[in-house]
Amino acid sequence: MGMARGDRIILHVDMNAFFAAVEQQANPALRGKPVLVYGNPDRRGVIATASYEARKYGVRAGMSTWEARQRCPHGIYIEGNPAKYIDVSLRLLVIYRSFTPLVEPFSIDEAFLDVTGCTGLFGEPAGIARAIKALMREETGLTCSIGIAPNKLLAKMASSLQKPDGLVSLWAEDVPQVLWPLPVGKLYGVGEKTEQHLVAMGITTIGDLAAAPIPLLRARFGVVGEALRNMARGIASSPVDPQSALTVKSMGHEITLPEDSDNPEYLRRIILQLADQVARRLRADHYQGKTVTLKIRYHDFRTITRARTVQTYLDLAEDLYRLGWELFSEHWTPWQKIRLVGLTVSNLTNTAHLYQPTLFDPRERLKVLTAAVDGIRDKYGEGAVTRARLLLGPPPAKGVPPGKEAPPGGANNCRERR
Amino acid sequence: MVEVIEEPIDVVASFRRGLMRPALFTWQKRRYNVRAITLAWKENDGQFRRYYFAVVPAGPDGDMRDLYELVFSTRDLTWRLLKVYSPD
Repeated sequence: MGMARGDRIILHVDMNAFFAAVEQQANPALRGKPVLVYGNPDRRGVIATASYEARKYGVRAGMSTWEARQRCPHGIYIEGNPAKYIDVSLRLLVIYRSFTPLVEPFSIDEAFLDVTGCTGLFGEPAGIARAIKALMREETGLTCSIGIAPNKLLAKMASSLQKPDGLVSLWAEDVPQVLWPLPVGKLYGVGEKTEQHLVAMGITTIGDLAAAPIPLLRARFGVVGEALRNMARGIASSPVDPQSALTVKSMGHEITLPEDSDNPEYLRRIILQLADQVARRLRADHYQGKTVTLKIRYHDFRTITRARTVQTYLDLAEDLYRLGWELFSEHWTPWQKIRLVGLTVSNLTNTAHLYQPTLFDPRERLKVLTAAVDGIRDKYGEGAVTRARLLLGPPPAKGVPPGKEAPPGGANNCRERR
Repeated sequence: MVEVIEEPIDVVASFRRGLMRPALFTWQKRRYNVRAITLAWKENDGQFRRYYFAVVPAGPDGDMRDLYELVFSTRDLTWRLLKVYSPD
């Protein structure tokens, strides 16, 4: 078994327990111990990564820190340091690019590499993968799992088959033997809801999906049905795209509150803070967006997302805040305690080459002020200047419910399009 | 155990092939020879940059125990000792 003539050769590199591994690399005393990296200094957030030693206790990424502590009370809990992980991730990309220019970062700890044209220089694919692993270990001390396949889908499936420190090749003829016996939920792209629908249809393995009649799948999933069947057969055609990371579809932030809150004034400040952060990122990367999405996660983990689209492209915090607060006021169940709030802007356009001045813009002063604040932050850092309102302390006692107070000012030229 | 220090320190560093590496530092009148740099990373600070180093100094008897986190800031060209990690 092996690659066929004309096959592309795609590697999927998946770092093993990345954040925890970086912490263990930085601090040798942590090696071999259950290390859990969490995402919030108040320890109420979720586990971002658990080392393999911690996973033995049933701790998984995405689990609440509280639950992780119940399962692994003697674990070493470390507040995540994004700057550290981003810097290491960028160094990993340099390693990959020393083998091929066709590198597609897929997340902070995953990347696809197309090494089809590199075998003349570096030898057969497994040898290239071993060389990448060796260089990675030498330069960063980290390990990874690598999948080798003729397309991105199979490469990603292959890397998941052997962890940690794995190296698996998966070619088209291997698919029936290796993938088809697996539960259908193991197929990349099949989420929890889709899996439930498939199982309800009697499709429990990837092989069942590969053999399912197209009309049956189309009737249930529409055009996606045929795509699912192709995926189960290991058929995928999207190329490794080095530019994909530069294509931004949305920008957002979310905050897990230090304590569940039902205080409108406090929650309003959180939305302002999110709007300020998201707007700053939009402007820094020369984007504007028309759709604002608010995410609310209640104390019982029930989560809602609500979006509003306006006619004008926006990049000012005041505009995002106004829309975010409107959505909040309309959709929050009053006095239901909230655990997490998120704000995302999508429907983006790149404004790097555009500037459309408006006559008699009443907010010209605001734009000038925003540009000045951006200049200060560019020079002295994000914390150099902030809104006085965000300097307020912890939430006061219960305030006035939203809707009973004057709406925040701001983008009066935004019109809703529901 | 993590102890937050946040104190300025004196550092002797080497600059080679585009890389800066602390070689020894003085903290509270005691000199620490850097035995190993376990991880180095950087972070932007406005137009400035901070270079972080997790270092293990050689102990008095040559053993390697505590981990020290140092940072060099291009904002004011100073070194600081941020944290000391000791095995529990």
